Amino acid sequence: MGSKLRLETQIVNDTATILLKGSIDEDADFKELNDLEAKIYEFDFENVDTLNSCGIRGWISFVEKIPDTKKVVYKNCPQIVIEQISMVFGFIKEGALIESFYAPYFCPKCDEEKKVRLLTKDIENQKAPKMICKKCNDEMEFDDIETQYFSFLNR
Amino acid sequence: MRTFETKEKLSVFDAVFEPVTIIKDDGTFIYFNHSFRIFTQMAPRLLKEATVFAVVNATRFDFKNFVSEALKNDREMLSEEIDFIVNKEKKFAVLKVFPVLIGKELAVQILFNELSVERRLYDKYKINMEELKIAYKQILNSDKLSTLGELTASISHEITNPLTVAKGNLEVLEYCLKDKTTDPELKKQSLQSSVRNLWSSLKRIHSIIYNMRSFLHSAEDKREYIRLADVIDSSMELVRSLYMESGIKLVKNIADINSVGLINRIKIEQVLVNLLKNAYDAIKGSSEKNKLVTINLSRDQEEEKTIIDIIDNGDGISEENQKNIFNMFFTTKKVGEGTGLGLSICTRILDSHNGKLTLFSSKKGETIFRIELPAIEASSYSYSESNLNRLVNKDGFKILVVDNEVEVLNVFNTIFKDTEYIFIGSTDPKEALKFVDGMNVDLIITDYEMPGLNGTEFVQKLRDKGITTPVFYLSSGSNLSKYKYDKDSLNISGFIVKPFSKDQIKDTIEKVLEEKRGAK
Repeated sequence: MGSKLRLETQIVNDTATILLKGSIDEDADFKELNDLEAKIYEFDFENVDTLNSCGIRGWISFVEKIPDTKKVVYKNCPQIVIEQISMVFGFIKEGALIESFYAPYFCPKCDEEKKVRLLTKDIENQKAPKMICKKCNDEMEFDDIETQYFSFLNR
Repeated sequence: MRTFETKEKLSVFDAVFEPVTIIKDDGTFIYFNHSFRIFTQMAPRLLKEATVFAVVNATRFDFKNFVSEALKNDREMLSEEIDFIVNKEKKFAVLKVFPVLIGKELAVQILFNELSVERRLYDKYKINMEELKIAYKQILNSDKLSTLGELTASISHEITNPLTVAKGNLEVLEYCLKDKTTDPELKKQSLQSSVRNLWSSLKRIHSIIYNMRSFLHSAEDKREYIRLADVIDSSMELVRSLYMESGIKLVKNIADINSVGLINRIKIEQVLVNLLKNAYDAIKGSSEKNKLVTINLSRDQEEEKTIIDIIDNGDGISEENQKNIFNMFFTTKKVGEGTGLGLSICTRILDSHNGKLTLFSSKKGETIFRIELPAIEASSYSYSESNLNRLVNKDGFKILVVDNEVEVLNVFNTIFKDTEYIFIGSTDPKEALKFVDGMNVDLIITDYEMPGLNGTEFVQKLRDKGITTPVFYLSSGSNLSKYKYDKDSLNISGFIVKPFSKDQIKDTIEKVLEEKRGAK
């Protein structure tokens, strides 16, 4: 079970950067994010450790209320968020940009799993980019099924 | 058995939301869908080398045996809710397991219905609900204390009156005892009068304090047969002095003095006192010269409900406020003069009695708050079911007791409370006749001396309808002859003498049950 969700918001010029930390579950409360004075909302999911269907429902309910005139960006989405994007309609607001996310890789030589940060713009044809292990310099394997993992890019 | 020609055909499960896997009999994976991979939070390369039994570690469930059973018996098996550890996280699910053929290879398909979120919410909110219940009880009590606090000034004034009368009469007694000149006969009359007045004053004081104590009493959820007119009386008593001091007239119109409800008396009193207090607050500041609050008690036969209206001739409630008055913490009073909880608490209490509270109408000169309580078939209720219609198909030994005295019905209520028997009480034999038409009861115990129909007349009508249910008379010994007379002609099974004991009633039921078994 994760920790209670905390939201850290910083508004610089017209951009609100919201860092989500903890668990997006039935106790998650997004009320403080309503009516932010910003034109761009950047949601950073790097520190989200768990999410469940109740939290997702709450998130969708919040995100739907963001006016369409605002630009919405999803950043540093961990694997658990990527997995939910393709399972639940509405998690990504219509018209929003998924800027970056984490993908699972595995180094057979080091026998280690790694989560690698990827930029959406670098993904072509739902193929995982080649990654080199920083430890042994060998090429790492993508540790999931590409078509399934990158299917969210087709929405 | 479900058959898939090739492994490729299994891709039909790729898009399914539920975790699905197909395994060999040793638990190694032949196929798993994306949802299963997410469910286990394991990379495909790790799943390919593992078994389902290792990945889904069920601590109190013999997963292997469950799968073997499905294979052995060639049938679909559904598990109970099981808990297991998946990737160090505890999860809950129900499994559906059945054998399948992949080409010619025998395999097992497992579908997971994950219930982790539901289970989490259930456990969490069970605790929260208990806390809420405690908080609610405390709010109820606070509301009562607050109401009583507001009434205290007038209640203490109310006690002062009989105390003054008592003091005056004691002085007369003192004088009479010292005086040696007055005529003894006159002195005797004076003494008797003073003693009578003293008793009357003390009774009055006792009644006021008793009412207050009862009102304050923490109401467990005990329900009894109570005449609603009595509850109205005791509620009016609590606010009477408040009304008198302000010159507001408080009257009651009881259309049906015998209206009875199966209610928690203290809670319904709390509702009535709250509404009377609200009416008082509303009217005292109004422009109306002849301030009046009326309580009407009536019955709606068609809708099968009892109605209590509290009507005041104040200035009415504005349309804007009408929308909000039942909301918690909404009040039009100044800070410190009201919590705004009264009406929402009243609503809650009436909900729990399957009744309701509404603002029936409000305009200048007339505001009506309406209490509705279920009154099915006149005054008849089952302890466990306020809607007799729902009892029709309920299994169990049903006992109907007909007695115009609510106290007797309350005794039976207590006797049957924690038993498996279904008890239905009625104060009116005519109404009791109506619902035995629609419901088979197993035993009828009826009082003999009742207004409207006596025991003989009641049972005669039952037998005329073709109802052969065993009937026992319940009455004082003086009616024993009636039983002897009716025993054969109306097939009366027995006679229970009042006062009766719990054991007598239980013996009666046993006798009837034994006869039933014998008849089978």
